[in-house]
Amino acid sequence: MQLRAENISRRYFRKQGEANFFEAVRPVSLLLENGKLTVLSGKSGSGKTTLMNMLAGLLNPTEGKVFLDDVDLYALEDGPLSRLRHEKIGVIPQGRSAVETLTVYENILLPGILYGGAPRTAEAEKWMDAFGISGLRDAMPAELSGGELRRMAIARTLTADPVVILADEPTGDLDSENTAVVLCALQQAARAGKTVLVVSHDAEAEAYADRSFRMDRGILSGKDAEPA
Amino acid sequence: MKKHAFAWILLILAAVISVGSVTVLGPCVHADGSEAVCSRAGRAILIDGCVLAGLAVLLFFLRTPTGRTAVLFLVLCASAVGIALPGTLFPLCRMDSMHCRAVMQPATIILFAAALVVSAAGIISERKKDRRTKS
Amino acid sequence: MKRFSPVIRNLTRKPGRTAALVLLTAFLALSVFAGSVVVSSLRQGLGSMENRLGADIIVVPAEAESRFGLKNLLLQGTVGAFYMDASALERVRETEGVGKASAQVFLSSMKADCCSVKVQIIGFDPDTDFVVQPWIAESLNRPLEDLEVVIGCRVAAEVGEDFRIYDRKCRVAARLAQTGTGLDTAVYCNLNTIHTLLRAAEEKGISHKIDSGNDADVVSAVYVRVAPGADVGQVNNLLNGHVRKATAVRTAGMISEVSDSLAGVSNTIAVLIGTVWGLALLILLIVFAMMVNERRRELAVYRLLGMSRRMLSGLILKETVLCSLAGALCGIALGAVLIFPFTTLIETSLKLPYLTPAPGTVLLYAAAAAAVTVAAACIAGFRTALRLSRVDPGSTLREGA
Repeated sequence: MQLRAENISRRYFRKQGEANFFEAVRPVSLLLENGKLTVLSGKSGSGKTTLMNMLAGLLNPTEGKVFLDDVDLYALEDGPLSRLRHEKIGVIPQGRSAVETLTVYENILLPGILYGGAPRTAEAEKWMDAFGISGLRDAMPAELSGGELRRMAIARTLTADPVVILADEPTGDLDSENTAVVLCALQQAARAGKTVLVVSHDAEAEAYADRSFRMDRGILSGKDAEPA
Repeated sequence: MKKHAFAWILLILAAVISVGSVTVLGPCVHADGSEAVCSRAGRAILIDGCVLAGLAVLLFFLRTPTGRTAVLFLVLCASAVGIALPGTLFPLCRMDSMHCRAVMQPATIILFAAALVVSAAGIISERKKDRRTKS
Repeated sequence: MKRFSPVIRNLTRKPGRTAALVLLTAFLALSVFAGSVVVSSLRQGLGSMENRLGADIIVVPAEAESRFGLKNLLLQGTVGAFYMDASALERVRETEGVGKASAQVFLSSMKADCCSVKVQIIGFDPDTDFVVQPWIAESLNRPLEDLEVVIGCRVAAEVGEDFRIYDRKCRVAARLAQTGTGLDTAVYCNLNTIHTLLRAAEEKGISHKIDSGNDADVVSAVYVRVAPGADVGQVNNLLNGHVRKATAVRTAGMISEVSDSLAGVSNTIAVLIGTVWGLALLILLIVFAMMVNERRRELAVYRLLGMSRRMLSGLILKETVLCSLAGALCGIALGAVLIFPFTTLIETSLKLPYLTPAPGTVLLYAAAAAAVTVAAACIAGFRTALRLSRVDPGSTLREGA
């Protein structure tokens, strides 16, 4: 499954110098193919997360379109778009992304039951083992460290088994050992035919990349970039 | 406070019953000072309320779930007796509009019923704790 | 692992927030349920009083109305005995426009006799009575014999039991259904019995003689139903002029006085309910507004995982419905515990006829109170649900990351 961005840009209304708006992402076209792990790097505030959110169907671009295969994401109503995101796109966001009233295990099972499905317990246990958080099964998110929370979020996304995985700084809070485990898992997912994008300023991530891009002040660059 | 929640609730209920039985929730008082039919029921409620208070205080000092369960069972029995005191075990005045029938009886039954429910919940909770400790 | 409900988990693992919502909605339901049951009981009491009075005019001794107040006698069971010459009955019957007239004789018991308090004993004439017998017939399907009494529902004695009045044994023949008025605390007997009791009272030194009367030739009140087509006001005026040392009182006037008091009480209750609702809704809105900030991150996660805005609003509303329903049930249960066991206390405090509605009607009020409470909570929660469903998950989750 391909994720394709056509000429997407994002402007925010914010006084910046002479202009009344701030261009977080300048018009960019991008193709994310299945079976490949793409790394998007760049400085803080360069527009990486904004671009990822637009690709994930979470943030409407000011201009341009995003296609998942032939489906124009932003032409869909909120209901069908949400369902499509739920079924096909897995997002690992920055920061704490746990439901604080659910245990670690329940958080990992949550995507599976949102639309009335059965909990994917076998997958959940597999990924909890892989990321070393099996012992935290019944812990509440408030009791977890930043790194443990991050691994929980990654396990949750992989348990849901989406065809597109978009990860924002997935190794941000992790030590080098866990960083390797996580990047390996994402690479394996790409090898299994999934479309994987990792937004990171961790140099280690580049080593696992099939393709890589850089963002700088809203402009995408790299050998595969197609600036509009 | 949370650890002794049942004891606190029972103590408060017992205090309301005991103090109430000699004040607002008490038996009828004749204008000429003579004793009404319901005064014995009033005294019985006061005694039962004091027994309940004593048992509630005892709960603070007991450490084992078995001991606490036993005391809670006594509270349950005392509450059941308390419910039957006004009107069933001790007679009340014959007019429904009398204070003993209009206020003392319903209030006493409600308060003792609340104590009964709390003690039953306490027994269940203590049994659960006991099972958890044993396993 | 079994499927779990995030809604239930959220409610049980945030007990403080859940308890606050349950408590607030319990207050709403309590005020609406208790208020409506009290108002309805008062209306029912008034209706019952209208039905039970059965007469258009009551003629009583001139000093009785000022000394006892007929309204108090009927509504609160104020005990009072007053007498006039039995010839008053004949004079009433002779008056133009009078259809039916029947005399009653009142006597109050000594408190030590039977009941710790005095009770009103009412003697009626079985041959002419049209006031008491129709509703005695609901409980007793034979004429009342001598030294037999029928007791109001609030007199604690059993049917078949002996009831001592002035040392005379009277057998309880029946117990009347509740009226919600002072008549519930009265004891009824025929004229022969009341005359026996009058003599017994006399022996105990309690005099009921009137200046120029014979013991048996006294009556306390004459109940009048006007002839068809006659004007009640006119007949009342005629009676006031025609019957010496007596006052004729229109029952309609008495009922409208009670009805006015009832309107006053109903308005007070409405204002109280309004105030409770105003305050509780304000607090509810504040609680929900606080929830917007507290739960933005959590709901951003749901959105991120693929929940639509509609589902997210549904999630918040489901929680609100569960909390408010629990609150409504608690409030209604508390209301029932506070109201039903204390009906006598409420009645004596309000000094108005008070008759609890039938269980079906009470259930209807409970259902309505629950529905109104849940609806109010949902309206208060809807804005929050709408605001939270619009959260931008990307930027929300980055905040404070």
